Amino acid sequence: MVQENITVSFTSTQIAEFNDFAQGTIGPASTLFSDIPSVNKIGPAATLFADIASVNKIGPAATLFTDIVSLNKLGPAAGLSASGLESLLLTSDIIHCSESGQFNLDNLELYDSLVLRGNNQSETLVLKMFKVKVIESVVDRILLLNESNSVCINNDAGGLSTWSLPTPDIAGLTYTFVKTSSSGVFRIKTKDDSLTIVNSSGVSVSGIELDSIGSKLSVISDDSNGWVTYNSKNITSI
Amino acid sequence: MSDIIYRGENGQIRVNNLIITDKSGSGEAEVGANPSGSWTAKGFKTEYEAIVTNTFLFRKDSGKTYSNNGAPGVVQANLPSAPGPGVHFTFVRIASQSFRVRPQGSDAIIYSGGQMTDGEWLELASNGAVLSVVSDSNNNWIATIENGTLTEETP
Repeated sequence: MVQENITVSFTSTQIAEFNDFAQGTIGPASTLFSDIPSVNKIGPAATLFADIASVNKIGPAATLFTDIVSLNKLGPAAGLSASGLESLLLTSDIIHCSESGQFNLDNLELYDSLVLRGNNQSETLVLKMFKVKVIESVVDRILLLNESNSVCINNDAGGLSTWSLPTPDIAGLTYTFVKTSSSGVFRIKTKDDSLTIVNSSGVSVSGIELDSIGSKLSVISDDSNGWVTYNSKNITSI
Repeated sequence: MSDIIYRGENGQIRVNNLIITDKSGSGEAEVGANPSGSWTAKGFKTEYEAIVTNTFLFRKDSGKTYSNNGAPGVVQANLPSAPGPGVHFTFVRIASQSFRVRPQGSDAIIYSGGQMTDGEWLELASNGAVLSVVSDSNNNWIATIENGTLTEETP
């Protein structure tokens, strides 16, 4: 038997719901989501994106993400922070793309580790256009760990200035000292008097003085032996 | 945009083609650690170039090592003018030819022989000679590494 005519009945409430749904345009049309003021809880998990107050203009348009001030807990699960990105707060333009597609960063501070390398472990990465920090002081100064790789000079010094190397808890810290004032006395010691500097003759000494203008000393930390000289000219051990 | 930021198999954040700069892409920037720590740059290489003719160096060349490998005669590397502190270069003489490092007219080199006259060159006068210089804030180039024979323009 063939049923040729079917009659379906709706209640007035159901008709009203259909009318409300039709106010938005969901689907492949170019106006996709354009009429929805905010999107919360997108995705299969109830809490996904729960912390995003509103999402505007997601898609291929030029205005992509322009209205999002901050992103928290970005990723497929709330626990992403255990191994990756915990909170990316875009309070200003600190991450941006240049015209050539490079990934640009302003004011990068490192809290754990930064590894710079090529695409695989057999390749290397080029550091280029980089400067070193130059520290000028005419008075006593205690160097900090994050001043490693600095060049220290005593421009305009007229008297004794003593520069103290930090406690070498880790190996590989480097500092270079150059005497640029002809009248000042430029002395390098360790912050902890129990530690020593191995001079260019392999002798452990308590300190080193730069004798004349242009004289220089470069040291590297050895976490078991204090400080080791690897480059020097016209120095006197004290 | 292609896949420039992605996650490594061990959870690292990986980036292709990273430039650290200001927003315009033309200014100064800094990478560093907080005062109680330091950071290690490992597995990296710096730029190296053999120059066989007189060459002007720029701030953007900071960090480079230059040699005179293959030079048929005297080569002069002209340092940039008063670039502010921290710009640094290294020079190595390989060819048996004079290899000269010249600051601009109002800048001077300070090395173990003393402070030189503004604008005068310092020559790497023996094979294997090495000179590293870094700029300070007073229009000087400070020699941080010296090896071999160095000769001033006006001794």
